[in-house]
Amino acid sequence: MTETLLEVNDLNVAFRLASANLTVSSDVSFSVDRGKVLGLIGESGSGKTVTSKAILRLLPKNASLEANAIRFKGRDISTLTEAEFNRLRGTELAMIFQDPVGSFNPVKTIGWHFRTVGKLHRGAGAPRGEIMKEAKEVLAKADIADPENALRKYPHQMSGGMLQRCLIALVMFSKPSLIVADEPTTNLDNLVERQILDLFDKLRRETDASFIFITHDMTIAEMISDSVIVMYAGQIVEQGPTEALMRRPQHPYTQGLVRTARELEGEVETLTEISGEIGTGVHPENRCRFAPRCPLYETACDHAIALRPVEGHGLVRCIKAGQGAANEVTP
Amino acid sequence: MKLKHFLHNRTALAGLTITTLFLLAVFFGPMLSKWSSNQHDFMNALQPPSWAHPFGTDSLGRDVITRVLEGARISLLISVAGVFAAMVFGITAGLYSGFHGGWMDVIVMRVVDLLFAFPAFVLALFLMVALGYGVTNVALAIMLVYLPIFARITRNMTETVRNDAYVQAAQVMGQGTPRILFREILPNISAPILVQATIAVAFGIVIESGLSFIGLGVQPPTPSLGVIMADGQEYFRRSPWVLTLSGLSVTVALLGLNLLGDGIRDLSDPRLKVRE
Amino acid sequence: MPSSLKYFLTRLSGSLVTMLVGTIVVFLVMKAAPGDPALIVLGDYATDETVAAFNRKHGLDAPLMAQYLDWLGGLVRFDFGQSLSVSAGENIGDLLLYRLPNTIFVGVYAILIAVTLSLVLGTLAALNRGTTVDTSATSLAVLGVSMPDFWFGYMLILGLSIGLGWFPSYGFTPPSDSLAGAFYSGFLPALAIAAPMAAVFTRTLRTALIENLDREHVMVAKAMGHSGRFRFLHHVFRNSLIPYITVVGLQIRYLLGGVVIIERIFGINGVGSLMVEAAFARDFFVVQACAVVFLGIVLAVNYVVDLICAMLDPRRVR
Repeated sequence: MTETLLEVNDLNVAFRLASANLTVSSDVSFSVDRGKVLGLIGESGSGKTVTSKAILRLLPKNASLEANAIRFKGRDISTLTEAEFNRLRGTELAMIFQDPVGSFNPVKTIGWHFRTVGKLHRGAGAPRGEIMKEAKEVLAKADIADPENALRKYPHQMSGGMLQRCLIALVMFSKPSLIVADEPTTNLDNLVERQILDLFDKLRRETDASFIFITHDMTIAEMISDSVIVMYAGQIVEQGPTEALMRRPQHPYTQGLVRTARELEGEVETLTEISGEIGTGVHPENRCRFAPRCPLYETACDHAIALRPVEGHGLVRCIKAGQGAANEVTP
Repeated sequence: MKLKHFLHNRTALAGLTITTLFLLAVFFGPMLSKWSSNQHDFMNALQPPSWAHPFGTDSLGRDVITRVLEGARISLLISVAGVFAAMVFGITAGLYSGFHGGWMDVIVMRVVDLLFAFPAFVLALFLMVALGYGVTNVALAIMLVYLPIFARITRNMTETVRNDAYVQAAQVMGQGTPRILFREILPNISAPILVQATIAVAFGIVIESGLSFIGLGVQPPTPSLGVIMADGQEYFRRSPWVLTLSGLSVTVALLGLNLLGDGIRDLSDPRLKVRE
Repeated sequence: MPSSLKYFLTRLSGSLVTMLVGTIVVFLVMKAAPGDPALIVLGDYATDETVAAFNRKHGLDAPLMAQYLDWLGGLVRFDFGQSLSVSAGENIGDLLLYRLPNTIFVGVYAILIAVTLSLVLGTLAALNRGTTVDTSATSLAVLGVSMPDFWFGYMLILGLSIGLGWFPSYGFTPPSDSLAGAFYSGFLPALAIAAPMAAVFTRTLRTALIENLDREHVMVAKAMGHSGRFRFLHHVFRNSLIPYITVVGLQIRYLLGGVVIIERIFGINGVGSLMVEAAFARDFFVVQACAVVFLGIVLAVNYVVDLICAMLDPRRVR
């Protein structure tokens, strides 16, 4: 039973700076189904983190958020007051951040974090013994070897990998329906990264929580997600089911990313580089933002390009999509 | 520390302005005044502020503003002398002890801890009893109060940068220790030291004023701010302006110095900048 | 945890050693001071015999080491010897006993005022960073640090005592006589000492709060659904306590210094004013004793502050 859990329509996020308003994310629309994983890919500055933080209303005070609608379980949550919305945080909508070490309060034990979240979500009268028992259970599910001991420890007494597991456990503790994981493995070394990814995979299969998994690594996205959104310079440039997107990416940027990922896997001698960098600051409204770096650029690209559906793939923001210019990039 | 950034920072700019004005007033003011600081005029004793005497006159008819300016100069010089000496000895001790570590470090830090264990003013007071009163001894007392602070800051920072690349490079190149310490390390750790120096000079003036105020520092008739305030205290109820205005001058001077120190600190510590 | 016990004991022994060395230094420096105790008490025209008798009576003709050990032995028993000139012949210990509570009362009073003021101002400034509230609070703080405390004391007298007549300008009711009286008569002196301290505390708290407001775990707590109040209290404020308390501890050094002059101005019979009187009267024994008392207080407070900080920050005691 596929049920749409989250639906985002035309999200725009801008920051009010002293000098001007900086739009960091525009016309973002997507949906996440129950039990599915949406991969959100982009390099730094693409707007991926901002978009997901916007959904959870975790942006700083000088950010302005506009959307046609943000529907969660059928309800438009963009009109909720802050107090009403806050009840959703942690219980229905949750976020796992990139740095596990910084995510815990260094002067408090891991157990304290569970206890306070438990009291918050289950009511102040919830018996402590029960909270801690469930905490140990969820820690065990997160592959923590000795949950009892872990609860008594302070963050600085644990490794990054263990802390990430504890963080994941803490987030799953209140059984949220949608979890945004913002590059949860970037700060970990490769071996631990693998373990955490396996953990995510296990959670995906065992619970029916949905995930938005943010990463800059195509390989991870392919491994873990059902569908993918590729963002560039604040816009979605391609979105669609993972397999189709990976096999035959339509947007030149996506093609570059996939090619690099395959090359890394196959250990070629030279990596094909996507030349140039995302610019900072205001992006041009009326032309393709990837144009400066695009090998397929022509003058026709110099006007605003909309997302178009492409048969068998999803949506693509490129005039060349579906014209056979795409490469079949098979593993 | 870039000069341009410095001038843009409002705090630093304000501090620099006030301090400069103060210094100008203090060094050139008495010359411009028609009164001498020791000019008695009993006919006009204890006059409230007027055009002729912007700060009024004291019990001996002396023009207060002239005395204050001259007193400020003396207080400032005493404080600067003391702080400077504290810096010379403290920084040197801190550099060597932070660099070499070992027993030298332990001894220096023990001495520092000991000096730190005495309340600043009590230490100064104690020294005045032991050494006798007078200008030089006040400076000496100030030096001993601040020596541990400079030693500790320098030593802690030297310890931190001791293993940085440029230090090791200098060592490999065979540079002598003094050169490494003073040419390589010191410039890199100078910002917090300078901040501390401005605070030290500011509070050194307070210490001097305090000691002179209770009569254990600079002795009259030499005007120092503390002496003038002690004077003003005697007839405070009748004619409060002497004490009030002389103390106000101290406050303004300190304000300038503190703002300056704050400005330097703001510029060298990026974490404290107000983000947009 | 045995490791923390070891830490506390090591620190304690360190403090005791410092205290000991401190007494040696105080003793030696006082010995080097100009002035002969015998002549001070007996007058400049005393005969050699009376001087010799005096020295014999007070053990001043013994070798230096013996004198020191004698004095130290007395210290441990809280016997500070006898005053030379401030209150000739009187047991210094009695003098101190009478005066110490007053000093401590005013000192603690001052700290309470300073902490209260700084908690309010610092929090307001940090939470409203960049606005007028923040600028005003910070400006007040800079001003507070720039005023000589005894001058501020006089300004308070001018304004609140002579001017408005709300508080007495001189004289102090010891807490042993009347607690309410002590609070009333001690308000202006405590406030005068508190102002510069409050300024420093406010700046420290503001900086620490601002730093902690940006920390990731605060954001994580928000993502979990914790309220703003919870986040501030348990994630921001709690984490700012350590630098704050450290600074409060460091300021004790300043506080006791400020007490000295303020006691003089307001006519408080405390250890500070005793030390000043003794300085004028060249009463070395009393000066020594006061110095040692102050030293002891500072070391004790430092030790307690260290203890508190170690308990607050689990990362320190390892």
